[in-house]
Amino acid sequence: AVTADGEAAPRGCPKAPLDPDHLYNVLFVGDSHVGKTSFLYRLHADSFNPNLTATVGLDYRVKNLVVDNKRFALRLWDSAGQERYHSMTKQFFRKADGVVLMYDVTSQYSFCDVSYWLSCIQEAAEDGVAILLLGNKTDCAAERQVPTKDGQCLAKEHQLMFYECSAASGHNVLESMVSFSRLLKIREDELKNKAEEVPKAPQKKKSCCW
Amino acid sequence: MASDGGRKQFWKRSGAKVPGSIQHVYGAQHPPFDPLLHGTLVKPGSKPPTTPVKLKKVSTFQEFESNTSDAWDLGDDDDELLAIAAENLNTEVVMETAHKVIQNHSKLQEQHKFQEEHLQEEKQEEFAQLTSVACGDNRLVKSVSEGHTASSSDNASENSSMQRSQSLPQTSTLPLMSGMGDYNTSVTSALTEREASRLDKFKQLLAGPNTDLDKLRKLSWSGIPKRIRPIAWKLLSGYLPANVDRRESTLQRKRKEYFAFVEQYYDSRNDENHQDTYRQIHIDIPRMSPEVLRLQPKVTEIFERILFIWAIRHPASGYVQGINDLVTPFFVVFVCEYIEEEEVENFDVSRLPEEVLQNIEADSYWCMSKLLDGIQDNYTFAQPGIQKKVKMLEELVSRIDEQVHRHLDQHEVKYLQFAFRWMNNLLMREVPLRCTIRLWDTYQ
Repeated sequence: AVTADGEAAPRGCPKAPLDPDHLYNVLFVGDSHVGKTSFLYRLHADSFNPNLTATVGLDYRVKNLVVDNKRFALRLWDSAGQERYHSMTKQFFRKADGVVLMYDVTSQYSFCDVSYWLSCIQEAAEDGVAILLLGNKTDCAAERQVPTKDGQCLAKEHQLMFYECSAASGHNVLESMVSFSRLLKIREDELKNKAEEVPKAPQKKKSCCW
Repeated sequence: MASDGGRKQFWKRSGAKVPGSIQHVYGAQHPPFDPLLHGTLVKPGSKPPTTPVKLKKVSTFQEFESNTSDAWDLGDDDDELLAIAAENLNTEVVMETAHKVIQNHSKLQEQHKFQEEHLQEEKQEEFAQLTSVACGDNRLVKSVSEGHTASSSDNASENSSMQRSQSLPQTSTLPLMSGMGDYNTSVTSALTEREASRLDKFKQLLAGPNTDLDKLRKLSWSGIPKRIRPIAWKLLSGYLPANVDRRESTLQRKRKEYFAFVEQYYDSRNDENHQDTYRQIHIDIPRMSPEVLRLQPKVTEIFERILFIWAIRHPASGYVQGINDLVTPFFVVFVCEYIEEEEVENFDVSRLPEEVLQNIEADSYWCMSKLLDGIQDNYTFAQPGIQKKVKMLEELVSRIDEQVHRHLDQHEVKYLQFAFRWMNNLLMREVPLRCTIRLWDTYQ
C-alpha cells in the first residue's frame, strides 16, 4: 500500500522514458510452475518462451502502461514458487502495493494452494493490498482441472479481482494488468482519503475508554 | 554423510564446523600466500553473523587484495602472481578486463540465444537507467550496457588485448564443453607451453603413491587442466582417497553403494510422502540449463535420480530449486573424462556405454553430496546460510565500495533482491558454465 513513508521517499523511481504518474510494486506469487515468469515474459516481450528456467529468489521487470490517460509504471516482482523460498518471498510482501496470485487451471493442486497463499498475504502484506487472482494456461483446454466458475467463486468470496489468462497464447495478459492498474489506483486513492481521516480516529477512541 | 565425518570436505575443512558452514563459498578458501589469513577465516566457533571475515591481522584492504588476486590460468609461478599483485589492479585495467569478459560473453550469447539476449539487453538497460540516476559515478553499470551493445563492433581490437584477458577461460562457439578446455586452438604457442608445464606439474603431483592434497589444492588455485580436472575434483572433494592403492576399491564400493540407494529408494518416488519432492524435481529438470543437457532424455533421467536420492537422504533440506544446478558442473566434468576432444561438441551422452554412464552418475552424486554437506544450511528452513552470506556481501561492499553501497541503499535496493540467486546457485546462473567450472577449481 502507498504509505506515508512511500510518499516521502521517491522510492528509487527510475527516470524512465516517461515520468510515471503512478508507480506500484506488484509481487507475483503462486505455486511452482504455474507460469509466473512466463506471464511476465509475455507481458514484456509479447511472445512465449518455453525455455525459462525455474525462478530462484526474486526477479523483476518494469512495465510501463498508459491507462485512462495516466502513465503507470509497474514494478513487477517475480518470486520462486517452491515452498522453501516462501520465507524469503514473505520479506517482500510488505513492500507490495499489489499482489498477483497465480494458479494453473490444469492443476487442481495449485488451485488448492491459493488459500495458503491468501493466508500468507494476510499475514505479511499491508491491509488493503490489491490482489489479483489469475488462472493461467487457458490454452491447455484439454487438461483443464479447475473450472472457471471455481475461480470466480473463490475470488468473490475473498473479494479479489479475477482473470483467467494464458501466457502461451497471450490471452488476457495485458488486459488483466490494465484492470489491475486501475484497481491499484483506486486503492491508492482510498488510502489517501483514509490518511486524511486518521487524525480524528484517536480522539474518538479516547472518549470511549474509561 | 556420517561415514565421511572425519574427511576433508568441500569448503569445510575444520572438523569443528557446524554442518552448513561455508566460508569457502567465496572461492577464497585457498589464498595461495597467506596461511595466517586462511587461519583467521576458518576459526572454528567464531561468531557467525556480522563480520566473519576477520581481517584484523591484514591491516589494509590493499594487502588483502594482493594476497588474493586471482590469476585465472596465468600459471602458478609465484613470480608471476606477485607481478600481477604488484600492478595493484588499477581501475582501468580492472574495467578493461571486465569489459572484455562481458564482451566475450555477449558474443557467445548472440550466437546461441538471439532472442533471449535481446531481452536481457533491454533488461540491462532498464537496470542501467534505474541505477544510474543520481549516481555520480556509474562506471560499472555503464560498462555493462556498453558491453552488450558494442560487442560486435570491435572485433579488430581482440588480438591486441592484454595477456590478462587471454588468461580468462576461452570463449568458444561450441555449445557446451569445448569452451571448458583449458586452451583451444586460437591460443598462442607461448600459452600452450606454459600449459604443458602446468600439466606436467599436475602429473608429477599425481604420480606418487600418496597424493599431497594440500599441494594439489594450491596448484589448483590457478586452474586445473581439463584432462586432470575429473580426478583432481574427486580427490579434493574427499571422494577419492589420497592413497592410490585404495582408489579403485573405493570407487567400486561407492558406486555400488549409490546404486543400492537407487534400488532401495527410487521406486518410492511416487509414494505419498515423497511425491512432492519428486514432482518438484520432475518439473525443474526439463527447464534446467544448458539446453544441450536438458534435451537428452538419458541425462534428465540421471539428474532426476541423483537429486531424488540426495533429497530423501537429506530430509532437513530436501530438494530445493537451484540444487539441480549444482549437479551440472560435476556431470559435465566427469563426462569429459570419457570422451575425446573432437567429439565434445554436440556430444550425445547416450553414445557412452551404459556402465560408463553409471559411473558418471554415481561419481556426480557423491561429489555433489560432498559439496552440499558443507552448505546445507543454504537450503534448510528460512535458508539461514544464504541470508548470512548475503549479509556478508552487504557488509563487504559497504566496506570496500561505499559509493555503490550508498547508491543501492538510496534506491531501496536490497541485497537479497539481487544476490540471493548468486548464493543459492553458486553463480551457476550468472556466468557461463565454463567459468563456473573454473571457479569451482578453487572451491575444492
